[in-house]
Amino acid sequence: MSTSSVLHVGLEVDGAGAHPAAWRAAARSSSDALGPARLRDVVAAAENAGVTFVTFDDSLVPPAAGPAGRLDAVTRAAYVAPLTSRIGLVPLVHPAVTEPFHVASQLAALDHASLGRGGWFVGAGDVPGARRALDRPVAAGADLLDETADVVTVVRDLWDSWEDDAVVRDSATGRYVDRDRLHYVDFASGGEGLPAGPSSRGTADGVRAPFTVKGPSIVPRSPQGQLVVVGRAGTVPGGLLDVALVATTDAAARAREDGAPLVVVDLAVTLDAAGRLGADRRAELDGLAGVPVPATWTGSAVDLVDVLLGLRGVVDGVRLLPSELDVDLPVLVRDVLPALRVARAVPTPRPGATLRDTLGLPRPTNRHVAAAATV
Amino acid sequence: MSARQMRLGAYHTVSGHHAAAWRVSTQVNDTESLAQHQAAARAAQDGLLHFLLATDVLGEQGDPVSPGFQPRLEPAVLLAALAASTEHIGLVGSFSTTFSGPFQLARQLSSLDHVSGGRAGWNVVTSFRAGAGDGFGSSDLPDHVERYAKAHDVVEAALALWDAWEPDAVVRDRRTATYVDPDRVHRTEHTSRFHEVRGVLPASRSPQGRPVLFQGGGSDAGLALAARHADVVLTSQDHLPDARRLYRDVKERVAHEGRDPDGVLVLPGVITVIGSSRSQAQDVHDRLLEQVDDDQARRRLSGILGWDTSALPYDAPVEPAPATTEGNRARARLLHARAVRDGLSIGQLARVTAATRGHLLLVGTAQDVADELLAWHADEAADGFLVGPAVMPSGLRRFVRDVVPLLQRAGVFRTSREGRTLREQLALPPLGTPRP
Repeated sequence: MSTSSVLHVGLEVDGAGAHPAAWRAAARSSSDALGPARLRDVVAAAENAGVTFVTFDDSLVPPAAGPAGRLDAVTRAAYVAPLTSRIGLVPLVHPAVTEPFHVASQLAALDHASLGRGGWFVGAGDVPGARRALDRPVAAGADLLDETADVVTVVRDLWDSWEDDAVVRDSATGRYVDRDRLHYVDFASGGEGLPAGPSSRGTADGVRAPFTVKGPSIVPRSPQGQLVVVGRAGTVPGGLLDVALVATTDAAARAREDGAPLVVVDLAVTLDAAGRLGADRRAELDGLAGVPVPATWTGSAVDLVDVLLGLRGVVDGVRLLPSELDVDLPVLVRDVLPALRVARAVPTPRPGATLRDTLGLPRPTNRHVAAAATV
Repeated sequence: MSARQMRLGAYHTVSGHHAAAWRVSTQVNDTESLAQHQAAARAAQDGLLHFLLATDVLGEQGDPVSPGFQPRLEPAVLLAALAASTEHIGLVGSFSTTFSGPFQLARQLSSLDHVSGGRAGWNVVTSFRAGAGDGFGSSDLPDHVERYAKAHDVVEAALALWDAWEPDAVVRDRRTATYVDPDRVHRTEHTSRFHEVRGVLPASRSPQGRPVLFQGGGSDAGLALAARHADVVLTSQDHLPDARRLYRDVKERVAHEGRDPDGVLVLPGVITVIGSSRSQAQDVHDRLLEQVDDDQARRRLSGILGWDTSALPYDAPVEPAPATTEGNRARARLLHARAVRDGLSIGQLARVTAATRGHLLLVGTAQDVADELLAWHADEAADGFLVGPAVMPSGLRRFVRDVVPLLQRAGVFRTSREGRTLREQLALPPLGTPRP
């Protein structure tokens, strides 16, 4: 059991909030819905409040129920990287629709740009619209689980394809990189048939397309060595995860048995705010949404603090999904996180600390160095 | 202000454009450090330069296991981080059409345009280096013609995706629960043998509508792509008469496509070594040349020329007939012409190539550099330049401090900013309304 009395608080910062009708009640004008100001303000507020990490949800097509849509999650995370110094930045990238080599190099660059605060929220489930937009088969079901495991494996391989000290800048011999400290990954995925591309147009929906990656990466090993890999329990093998996300605390024990070092539970919240009860706000949002919306926790800041304090020892953290960022985030920042700090229930991320440092996860030794050491 | 205005971009590196810069320089040149990139971007912005260009290693130096490889930060992430660190400068990235599909490329570039407030540019490149496919499971790279056919296709699909969102598509009517007016968003239906793209980008129209399009291939196929789609053509030219010819050629091709020739800018790359005196600049240049690794330089030259020069001695003359190469066609021709013109041996040509990669090399005082740039500009060989200091960061500081004021005094370079977006700052014609 890796449970401790410390509770990490994560925050989903996508769009106007996690509720599909959030945009309709949002106070902001439409012109900056996708602009950088909102993103900057939200992440800065979360960092100031001591949030351990933020996640950036993503999708390829506009969400069915709603608003405008979203910018590429990695771009958003990279944008806020130089504006922050303590908070972890965890964009969602879906393994079924992105080239593993791109995923590896972009996320490694994010880790460099943020000085070690990068993470990867491994996307799961169907990707609506992907087949039509990307002109490639998109895996589903068991194929998707297999493909996800392969993609996470090869991305982790690529992150280790440069040893930490591969950049030698040896002026005397003119060697910038010591090629003996670079390693091919030579990965061939599972799956049958043709690789993704125009030739795979005849492949049925839901069937994975195989891929190969030779490597090495084009980006040197990043500050954390391996970024913090966050994924939903059951969609990525636990041994490949650093943080397993669970929907309820009942699933925590299972996720731990599956090998995930840390377990974080998702909690969607609609708080009492601006003189209105959370339950009333929630009912109004549901009425506006026009689509079924999963239940959220509703109540006061004081009650939420009690709930969160009760999660200590059960899970390692909670990822909060506020219904409306404009309304719920100020309450979290003003009333909830300070109370948790007073109770010494949450860690205080330090400037310069990596996300691994803050989460208490060790920096992994490069597998090629570790292998050499055991010979 | 009536004189034709010069546009300037920074050919962005952290350690300098000269292959040996990192061996000679005592300055910090840590390519993974965002702080170094931020300092370079801010220096360029302070000098009122219009944009910086961040290139990827894909298709440039290809294989990390090859000698001479210098890592970089992936440009989409780097430019998004620089968007937060700068306020005015255009942020242009080289993104290859060989390995990425149009939807993901269009999406990341639109996202960059949103977070930068309309400062994004896309340098459309194709990948040709052996090794560039190693990450993507494609060991056989497409040939030259096929690469450019695909590039055309990716650009056209991306343009369709960007134009699909009309400027006023987001209506955000709370009462009727209408966020987007569906009549003002057009589903892209792009079908070709390379890509089928059917869908809508999940983000509304970006501040510029689309990123400014740059094109850098100087081959016939590259110029054809530029003439149809590019806003800015980046070229490698080191000889004024040739540069004038290419300039005219580009403008004629643009006119032939039914576009305004003045609305497409031709910017040659220029590598600068600026000293307080000519002899001091020459000393720096000599020291750089001495540090060029002859084996690496020869391999690079062989790659560009398309035939193996390794067996030839340093003093061997360059044969008069250029080879046809799969990759860098225009550059191979250019280097070959230079060797014949200047009577360079194969070893000398390799060193010069390492130093300049075919770009104009200017070694001298700030006045020397300014005079040469002004001459090329006045002579209609260039609308401006992509400036790559041989050694960074000092080279860029020097250019901004000493050369820019001379260009301003000559009345051809701006002394203040007009316009907000990159397109406006470059004084490019406004985009037509997408879909009447």
